[in-house]
Amino acid sequence: MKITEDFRKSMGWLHTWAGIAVSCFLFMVFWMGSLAVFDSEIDQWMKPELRAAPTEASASIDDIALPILQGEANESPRFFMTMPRHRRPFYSVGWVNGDGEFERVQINPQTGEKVTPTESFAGTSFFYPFHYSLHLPDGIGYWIVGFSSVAMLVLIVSGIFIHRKIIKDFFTFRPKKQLRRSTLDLHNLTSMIALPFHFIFPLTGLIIFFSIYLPWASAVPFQGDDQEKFAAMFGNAAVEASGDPAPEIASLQSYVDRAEAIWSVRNGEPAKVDLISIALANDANANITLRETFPSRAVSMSRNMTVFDAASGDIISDAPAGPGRKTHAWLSGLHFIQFNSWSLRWLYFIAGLSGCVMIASGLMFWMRARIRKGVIEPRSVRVVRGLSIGSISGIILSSGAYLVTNRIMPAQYEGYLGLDRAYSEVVIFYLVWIASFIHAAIRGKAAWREQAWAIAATALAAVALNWITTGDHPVTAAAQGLWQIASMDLVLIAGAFAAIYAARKLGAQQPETGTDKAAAGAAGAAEPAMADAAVPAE
Amino acid sequence: MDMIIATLWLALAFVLSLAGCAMLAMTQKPHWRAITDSKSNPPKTAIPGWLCIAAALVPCIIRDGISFAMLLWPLIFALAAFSIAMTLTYKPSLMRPFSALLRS
Repeated sequence: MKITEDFRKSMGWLHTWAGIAVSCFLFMVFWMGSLAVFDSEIDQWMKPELRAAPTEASASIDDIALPILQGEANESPRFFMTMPRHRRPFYSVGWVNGDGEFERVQINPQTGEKVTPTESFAGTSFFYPFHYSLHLPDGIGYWIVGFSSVAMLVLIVSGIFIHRKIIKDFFTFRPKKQLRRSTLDLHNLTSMIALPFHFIFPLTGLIIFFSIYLPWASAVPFQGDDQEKFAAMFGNAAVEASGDPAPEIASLQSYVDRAEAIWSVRNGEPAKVDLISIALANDANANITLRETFPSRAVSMSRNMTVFDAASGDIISDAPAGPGRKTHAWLSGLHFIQFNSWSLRWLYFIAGLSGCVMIASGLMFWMRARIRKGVIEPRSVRVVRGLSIGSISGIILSSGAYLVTNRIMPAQYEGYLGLDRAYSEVVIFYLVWIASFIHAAIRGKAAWREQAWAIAATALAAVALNWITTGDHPVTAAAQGLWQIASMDLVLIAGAFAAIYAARKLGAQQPETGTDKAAAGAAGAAEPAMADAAVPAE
Repeated sequence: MDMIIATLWLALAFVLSLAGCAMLAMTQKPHWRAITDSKSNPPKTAIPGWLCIAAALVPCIIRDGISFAMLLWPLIFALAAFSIAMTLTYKPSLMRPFSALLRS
């Protein structure tokens, strides 16, 4: 097929308008996704009680689980337990308490002591779900993210067609050239060099939630029966309550040993149980499910699951993954990155931020191009700029404010107006975010610079407050082996410097009059605006 | 010790990608002239460049196995490509020794 000028033009149209439609959402998803890469580290930063250097557990599974199973969780219909792993050094145990509420404790694997962490949604329950659900009710967020992901795939394909000099400009960035040119260079550079990453992430994101986006394939064969569906797809075993009292579980370790033996043969390498869950724990038909959710040395996740009958100890279900599930496990595993590879983790983080720069520079190029067409700023530019500032520097700023709030609020804070501590933090996040949109609407172009200063201040305040409230400044943290804390502080400091650099460059910028000549005069000014987007203000 | 060897494999993959990207960049006239500060014509190093980038997959596989290598390799390439692009933008003369090596 020959690429005609006409075809290129229509691809250009598609790229422009699909980009304008979803860029703000895509930026949120990329930003939160980049933070979610380090969700457990953010958790430990925000819940200082959980800070611990990774160590081998000395308390056994039975030491931890049995007292709870026979004690406070005696009447609970459900029970689960996750094992300490390199990024989460504590046992986590959950059950339903007497009031019907779900209760969860963290247990130190060395001492067996229960730890009550600071109440916060932190990385794993705030930033991470934000990445795929935007925290919107009724699954609306999943559909917005899904739609944006499809649009992203469209944007990548159309972008390749409209890019005239892929080879020639591959390594090219010209900050000193005309503003529009350097913005476009940055957009091309960040999209092309990490192209496989930018393509595979929206794709695997869609694949992870295939049953939400394409429910019909499984709706027909299972007639909407989810239990049957999960049994067929993943080997879950559904049981019905008998009403008789539960059998006594003498040891969970014995089940763990049996499952690990089976899986190790199947995988051809040692396998470990990551999760134990007991369904109908207070009934004679109780079953125990053991799962290998996140192997540390494999990309594929959820490789093995075995279900035992608690009364007889027999295996109820143990379905090895078929080719379909294996493919799904590899593709979703590469998106989840729960395996143990620090080099990949950092590369994902950097690639995620490069995606942020790609989106932000794309939006800015559009605004530049629009301004050039008319002498005065069109209203469309003002609207898009307001939305862009709010969803780019605004979300970075509110993420920083979330961290600062977490350190300012006392750990025992009871909350206010019926909101508990964890929700109070979230409220601050949204208030700052909304304020950033209002600020952008009032201040226009100057809002970029002002929010960049605010980001720098917030990031530095977070580091200082972490030092004041916990005593762990980067040096002491590193000396204790708390590299997760030291790195996070250092990234915050680096982010603050990047924001200061961006703010200063923006301050030096000439007032924009809208003509091509003036834009050329303000050489290099797009770049700080973009650097703004790249600020990793965790 | 294991960690040092793993880091060395990673460094080798990065250096190979870096060399590959540098060779690819040098085939472009503006980059070549910026690096050498001369009016000479760029060398034909595209094929060795691609070979270097392909070769970077080998240390990735040795270090982490094929599954991880499929993720590591493109991301290391991205980092190398970005480093070369930034060098060409801000200090192309840094690449002059390498260009001299290719000319000889």
